[in-house]
This record gives sequence, C-alpha cells and structure tokens, in this order.
Amino acid sequence: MRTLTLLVVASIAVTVAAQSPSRFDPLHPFAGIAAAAQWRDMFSKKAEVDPKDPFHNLAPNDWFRQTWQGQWRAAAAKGTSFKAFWDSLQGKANNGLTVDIRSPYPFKTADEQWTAWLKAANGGTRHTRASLPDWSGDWTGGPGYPDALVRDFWTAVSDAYRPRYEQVLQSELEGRHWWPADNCRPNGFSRSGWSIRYFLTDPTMAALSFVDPLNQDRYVFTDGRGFLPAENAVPQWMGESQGFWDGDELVVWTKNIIPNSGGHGLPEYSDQLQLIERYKRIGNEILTDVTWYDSVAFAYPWHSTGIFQRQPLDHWKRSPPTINECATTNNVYHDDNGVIQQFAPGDPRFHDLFDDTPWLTAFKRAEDAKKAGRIPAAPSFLSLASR
Amino acid sequence: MRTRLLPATLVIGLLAPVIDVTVQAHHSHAMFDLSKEVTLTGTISKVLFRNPHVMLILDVKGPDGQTVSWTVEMSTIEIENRRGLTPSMLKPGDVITVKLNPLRDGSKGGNYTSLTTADGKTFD
Repeated sequence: MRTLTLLVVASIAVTVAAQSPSRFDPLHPFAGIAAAAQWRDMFSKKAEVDPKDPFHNLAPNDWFRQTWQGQWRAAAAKGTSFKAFWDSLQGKANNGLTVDIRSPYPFKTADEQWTAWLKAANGGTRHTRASLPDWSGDWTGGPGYPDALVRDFWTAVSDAYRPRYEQVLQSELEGRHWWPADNCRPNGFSRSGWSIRYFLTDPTMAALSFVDPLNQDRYVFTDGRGFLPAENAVPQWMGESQGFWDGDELVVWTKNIIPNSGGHGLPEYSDQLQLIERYKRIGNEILTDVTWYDSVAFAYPWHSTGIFQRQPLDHWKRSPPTINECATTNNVYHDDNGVIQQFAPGDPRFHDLFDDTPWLTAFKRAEDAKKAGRIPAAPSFLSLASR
Repeated sequence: MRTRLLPATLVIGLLAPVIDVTVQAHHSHAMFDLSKEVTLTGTISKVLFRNPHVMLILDVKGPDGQTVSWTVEMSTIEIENRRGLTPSMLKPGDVITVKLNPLRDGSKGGNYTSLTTADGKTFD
C-alpha cells in the first residue's frame, strides 16, 4: 500500500511537472479549466529531499507543527541539546511537491494586472441579482501563501526581510512563537485570513465573511466606486478592496493592508502588499488565484492558488458560526522576555471568561470604590426626582 | 466504556488538506510544559463551549482537603465536535478526570491532553 501511494505521488509529480503554466492565457487564466484542482496542479512541481537543505526539507507547516508546543523546551528539560533536537526535525519536502512562488504573470504591479484584466473583460460584467453566480452555502478552504518549502520562501523574500524571516524561524524552534491570534489580532493574508465561510453577493458588492479564527468581513465593491480617496483611506488588516465580474469570475484588487506576520514558519509582508485575486465556482468548489505584490518584503511578485469546498449542512452543525470571544476572554500575553505566557485565575490580570455579566462586575467595583471614596459619588438621580 | 479516538495530531494531519485553513489554533502552546502531564480528578464548576477555546474550571480536592480550582483549556468548538465531545456532555457538577500539560509558571491551569467524562468516555 505504501509503495502504491509513493507511486501515485510520483506519478502525479511527473504529470504536473510536465505541464507548463505558460500554456494559459494570462488575460483569461481560467479559460478551459474544468476543475479547480486542474488549475492548482499546473503550478505544482516536484520537490527533492535534499540532505544539504539548511531548512531540513521542512515546509512552514512542518516547522510550526514540530515547535508550537515548545517541543525544544521540553527536549531541553530532558537534557537534549539544541543540535540534537534540530537534527531530529527532518521534513519530506512536502511529500515531494512544491510550487513556484514567482508569479507566472507578466505584470509588474497590481495596478497593471488589474487594468489588463479589466480591459480584457471589456470593463467588467454588470450583473443583476438574477444573473449573479450562485455562491450560497457554507464553504471551507481557500488560499494563503504559496504551498512551498521554507527553502523556497528563503529566496523569495527580499534581502531586507530575510533576517526577519530567519528570526521567525529561530524563535519558533526555541518555542518563542508570535502568532497574531495570541493577541486576538486578525491573521491577515499569509496563512489563514482567507478561511471565508460565506460569499454574500449582490450587484454592488461581494462580502467575504469569515468565522474562524476571527469574525471579520472583506467588502469587495463591484459597482465601480473604486478605492477610498487618499484623504479617507485607512490601513486595514484585510485591506480595502474593489472588484469586478468577468462573466462568472470575480476579480478583486486589495491594498491598504496593515503589515502582518503570520508566524507558523512563514515570512511577513509589509504595508506595501497588494493582491490581485480571481475567483470562479466550478461545481462544488470555488477556485482562487492570487498574485502578491510587495516590493518591500518580497524579492519578486508571488503567486498562489486555493480551493474552497462547499460543505453539506452537517458542517454547520459541527462547526456552528459562533462569535469569537477572544477579545474579551484572552489570557495569553508575551512577558518582558518576549516569551508567551498565560494568566490563570487568581492573577489580577486574568480576564474572567466565565463572567457573563461583566457590566454587573464593573458596577459592583464602582459601588465599592464610591463607598471607599476613591471616585466621586453622586446622589441617586431618583432621589432628586420632584415628588 | 471508553471511546478511543485518533490522536488529535493524527486527525488534524489526515484532515489537513480540508481543514487546515478553517480550524485554527488560537495561540501557540509553548506556555504549557509539554514534558509534564498532570492527572486531575475533580468536579466541573464552570464550563463554556465558546470560540476560540472551550474552557472549564475543575475543582480538585487535594490531600490536605483543600479545594483548588484549575483552568482547563481545550480546543475550538469545531475540533471538540469532531472529537465527539459536544456541549451536552460536560455539565457543572460532573466529576471528570483530565490529563493536562500544566502552565510552566506553576499557575493552576493547563492544556488538556485527555478528558474522561462522568460516564466514562475518554476523549484525547
């Protein structure tokens, strides 16, 4: 069975390696694509396990999974040297597959790509409610950074940002992670910002709604209003987006993005990041294509793909779309040494996540303070009512 | 009865292509001491099925007769549901057993590695 699996993986690798991304039309990239995986696999390529890889053939997912619980600190407590621990972390080159991080498109800027695609779409398709594609339902999946190895990212980040990437990698090995969600910040685009749960569309906009890890939405205006004027624009975690429909495909341009580090063995991006995305539903999947422009953090424009899967109703029951209460219940912090810690009950800094009436708790605290004379006390307003 | 489930890491690994970007750990677990595992049997005083973490407070009576409250951190609602652990299975007053990696700083809290409910079902 194991041999068969290896043969299948090898066969797929050879097949996708034989395909050339240059065969697609850069102005109509999804033309002729019959299945989402067909597009994704066009950009896969074989990855060899290299015994001299300084990153031990690890993918970013391997990097964080083998460090996120402080494995090095646990190993050190048992007398294991850092070298022995590091030597024990050996990846399989993403099971023999990686992708080209470099964008296959001829465009140098997001503006250039947007303008070319808009022109190729004859200014975009003006949909009515009746003609909009049906993207209803619960969805999971989606894109993130390219599905590449750490060694691929190492050469794809800019010279200026490579030392910062090295710091991320080293700190995670040492069990000193920094993840945006530690502090209830949005993950942004690098890793999981695109776990879009609902695609809500009308003729003026597409609202891309997230549930996990945080409740947030991206508003993609498709009515031609453009970006906010410079005097009104503010950076946002998920940026500011405008879009247009190219038939049943949604094209999105996003900028004004707050810089972020996704941790998890991944490099960060700067406030210069701009994205061009294209979405198309094929059957029960939505295919996504992303071009990443960041002249500060990246050595060249990047490219990734992603696939959303439409979920049966059972998914809603299993994963109810609840409000994420991290902002009010989070007890994680980074101490003075930059090490992740957590407040426990009994510590005055503990956020009592079990207090479902925090206003009453605050009122009682105020009443106690008034009695103690720590804050001004006013007479009861009811006592002042005319009788 | 013991309900033996696949280890969480294996489940996540098998489902990774499908759920990797939809099921997020909220924070790294480096504040928990992976080299230690504490077994606690006590009474649930509070339980919350909420995101990003299902949490419970377990009152544990020590050998000196004193009761100490422990915070037990669990995963997201979705992951717990995938493991078969649903809100109706944990109620205040239930006596349960929890194994956890404790906080490194010695505070009475930790991240659970397994939980055995009042009726003997184990989830890990």
